Amino acid sequence: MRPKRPRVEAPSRGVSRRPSGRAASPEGDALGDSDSEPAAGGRAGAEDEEDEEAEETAGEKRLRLAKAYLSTLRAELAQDKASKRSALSDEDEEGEEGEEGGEGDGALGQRLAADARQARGEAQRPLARRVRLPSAADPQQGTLWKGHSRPVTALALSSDDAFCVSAAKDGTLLRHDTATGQRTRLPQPPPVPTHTVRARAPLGEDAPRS
Amino acid sequence: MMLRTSEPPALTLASLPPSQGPCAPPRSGAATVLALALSSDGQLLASGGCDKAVHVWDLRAPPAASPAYLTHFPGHRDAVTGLAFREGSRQLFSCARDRCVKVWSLDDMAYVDTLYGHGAEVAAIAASRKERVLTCGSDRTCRLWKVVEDSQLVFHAPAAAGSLESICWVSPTEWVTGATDGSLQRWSATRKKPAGTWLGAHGAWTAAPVAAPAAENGRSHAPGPNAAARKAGGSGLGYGASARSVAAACAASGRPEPCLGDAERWVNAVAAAPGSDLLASGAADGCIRLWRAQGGALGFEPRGGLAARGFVNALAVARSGRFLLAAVGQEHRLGRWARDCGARNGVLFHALQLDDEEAAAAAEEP
Repeated sequence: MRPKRPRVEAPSRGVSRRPSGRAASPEGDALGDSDSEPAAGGRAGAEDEEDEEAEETAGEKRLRLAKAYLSTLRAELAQDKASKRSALSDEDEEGEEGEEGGEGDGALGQRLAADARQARGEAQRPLARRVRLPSAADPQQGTLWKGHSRPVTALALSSDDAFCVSAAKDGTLLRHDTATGQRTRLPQPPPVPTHTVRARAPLGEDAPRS
Repeated sequence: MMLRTSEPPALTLASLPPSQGPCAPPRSGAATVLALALSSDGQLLASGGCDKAVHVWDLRAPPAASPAYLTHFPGHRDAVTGLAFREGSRQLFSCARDRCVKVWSLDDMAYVDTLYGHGAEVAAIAASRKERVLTCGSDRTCRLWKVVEDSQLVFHAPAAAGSLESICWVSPTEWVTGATDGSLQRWSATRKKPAGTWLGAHGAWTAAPVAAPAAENGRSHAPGPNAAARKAGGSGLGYGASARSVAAACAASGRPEPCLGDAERWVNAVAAAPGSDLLASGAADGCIRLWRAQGGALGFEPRGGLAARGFVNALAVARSGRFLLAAVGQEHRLGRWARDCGARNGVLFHALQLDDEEAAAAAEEP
């Protein structure tokens, strides 16, 4: 979910260098408010805002949301950087002031590209090199989760790795918690009629009309 | 030395007596389940099997409570062999032995479409984030279905591969299949033939990688360039001792050694950790093999193995890469061609140890 408007408590350097846009102006903030909750101001003020909202086209709204999203990202990056720097030292802070804007935008670009790859499902994490293999002399045997009396035929793992469901040849379905191995039995599906029999009248008598 | 590519075993269900086929009625009277899929929000579960229907459960109830059964969809004319949800949506795809792929919308709880094209039973299905579905089957083809455009791309495996039994995506445009001759194929959406084949990835065969067929000779099943790995008795796989370790474990535990014949090397399952290059493949040869699905001349390289006695009928690798699950049993999921009496039925959990990224990079350097 993209945040609708930036929640920046302390104005950090990255945010202050942001190009002046509607998201930064008080007008933009008021617009953001009118989306979710009625404005606390008088009746006239509320009407004004409604008018403005009516004027805002879809494109403008997209632009406003995009700017708000960018400013939150910038704030996050600046915060990360600030925490990193405070961990190192506070001495050369003044000297870096000038080049910070460019650096921040570079990091922002990388972050946006990574997010986009993630969203498209194209991000490839190099996991295979990191797997520590059991030695051939001492093969890892693993843990067998019992519960099925017939060969297990299928398996589905949830996308958050929290649980899996397994099925066996006898039609039993079990749900296992991957952290504990605890199992729950799923109800049996009702039997499905396998054959549809349609009675047909003998020839000569009135045939069924379709 | 030419590697002998024996005639692959015909994986036809017709050759089995009815009492040994997938739809032999189990003693409990319930229908055999052959496929499961979970939606990516973890709320819906779909199952399919020999009753030719797709059943849907709602898992939103708290974990302690029993999930609610929602409905079933009739429509397939034979056993449902594979199910997959499109990532991030409630669009469901099912494949069956009736050679059809069907599209369902679980938002509307409705049937949407049927995709025709396979010439034999469809064995496995894989979906991705886009509306692209992959299926493979006994007709030795993979098909990439473009659901919106109502078109399909057909990819042919070499005749020696037997039947393609399992499939999974390894990147948005590439995927891996497992075949009944014990080989793994790596495919790309831009090539009609496998971009790389690893012969004898499973089974008693020695490892023999085959590079992508060169345009001039096109001998896709010729012995590969990596003769050293072959000569070393499969040590190129990093787990060449799997057969020996199975025998040793049998001797230690007093369980009978498996005698499965050709069925031992059918690659029944391949699975990748979502969004990563960690791939696992399973057969009945006592070993789940781990692969790195990027790099190398073939596009994938072996990383080692994990012990798994019995038929590995399905695999799942955690998104985090911290564990691997395998559905194991005494019999193949689709029939009773062979039986490994020493195996136990259950879900096998293997924890995976992950090194830090820096340490892994340092280990790869020399």
